[in-house]
Amino acid sequence: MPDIVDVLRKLQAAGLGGDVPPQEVPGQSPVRDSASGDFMEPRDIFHEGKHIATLDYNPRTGAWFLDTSELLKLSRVPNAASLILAEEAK
Amino acid sequence: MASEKINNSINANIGIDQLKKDITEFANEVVFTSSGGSTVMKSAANVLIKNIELNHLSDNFSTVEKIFERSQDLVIRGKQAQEKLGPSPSRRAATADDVARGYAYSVGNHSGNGLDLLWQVPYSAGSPIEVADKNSTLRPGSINQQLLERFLYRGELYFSLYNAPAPELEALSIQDPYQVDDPQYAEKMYTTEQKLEITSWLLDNLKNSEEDLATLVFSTAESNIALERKNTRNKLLEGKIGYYITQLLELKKVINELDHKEAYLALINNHIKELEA
Repeated sequence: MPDIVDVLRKLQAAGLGGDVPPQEVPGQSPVRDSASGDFMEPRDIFHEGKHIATLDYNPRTGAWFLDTSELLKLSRVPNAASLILAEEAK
Repeated sequence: MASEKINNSINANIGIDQLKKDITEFANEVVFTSSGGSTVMKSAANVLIKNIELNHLSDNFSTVEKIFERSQDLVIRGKQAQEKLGPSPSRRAATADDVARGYAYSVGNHSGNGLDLLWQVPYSAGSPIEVADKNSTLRPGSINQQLLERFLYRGELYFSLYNAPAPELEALSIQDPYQVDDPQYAEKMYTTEQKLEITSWLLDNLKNSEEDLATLVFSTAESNIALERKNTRNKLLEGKIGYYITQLLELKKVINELDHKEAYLALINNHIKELEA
């Protein structure tokens, strides 16, 4: 079972109890969705067992965020859209 | 109740704000078309929509409220701990007489990672073996005072009965109060089907006669007051997350000491009861 302090930090990172600067959450660097204010979840995208990129995903709105270097990496994968859709369904 | 229709299905994508907006528009239309704007029906619609919103908030807290409560209890316990413990006894090197009376395992230095016989606190190898001085000035009624007094009494009682040092007490088994279940928190969302169910529930209720609607307004308002109270309390606890983190980190040591000593005192008292029987 986890320590209550770690659980409270996790709840803070999930948006409870007001805003938390990312550096206050050890081992995590949550990114906010600028449109909704939600914290994003980092999701790893794999292709044939190889890690392609880590994208930020907002499970509430279904929004994915990626920068140009991540876009470039995904463009090299033939079925990138289906990989993302599969990750979204998890 | 509306709360029974709430879950967090993977397909849910309607937020509470959107749901509330849609059912409010729906209710306004129903009130206008079926009653020409009856104030009783309008009140019923408002109180039912408020009930949906309050149940939503209450459900959102349901997975985490136990964590908030535990945090609050621990902080209160931690703040009171030093007062309950009182000053610690002064210590002196263990003597052969202390060993004979069961106050210490041996004299000299710990040869391994042993336990202090009085507090059952681990000591590292090489540290001197000490016992609490029975002439220490302690606050009457404090845990430290009771523990020392009862420990010495147990040793003397056992010695008077068996002419031998009191045996080692069983090992303490204390559950770490900081260990908790990990709640899976996520803001609740609604599926289209759930939204339809809630809308139907609202419509079914609004179909009642004016007399029944009036009763419904009062009973739902009462339920809303209870929910509001519960949610306000949870909101207050939620707002203290940052404070709890800081306090729990600071108080961990003293809470651990209090738990440890209270459990050890209970063990000693049980043994004394057996000896006195």
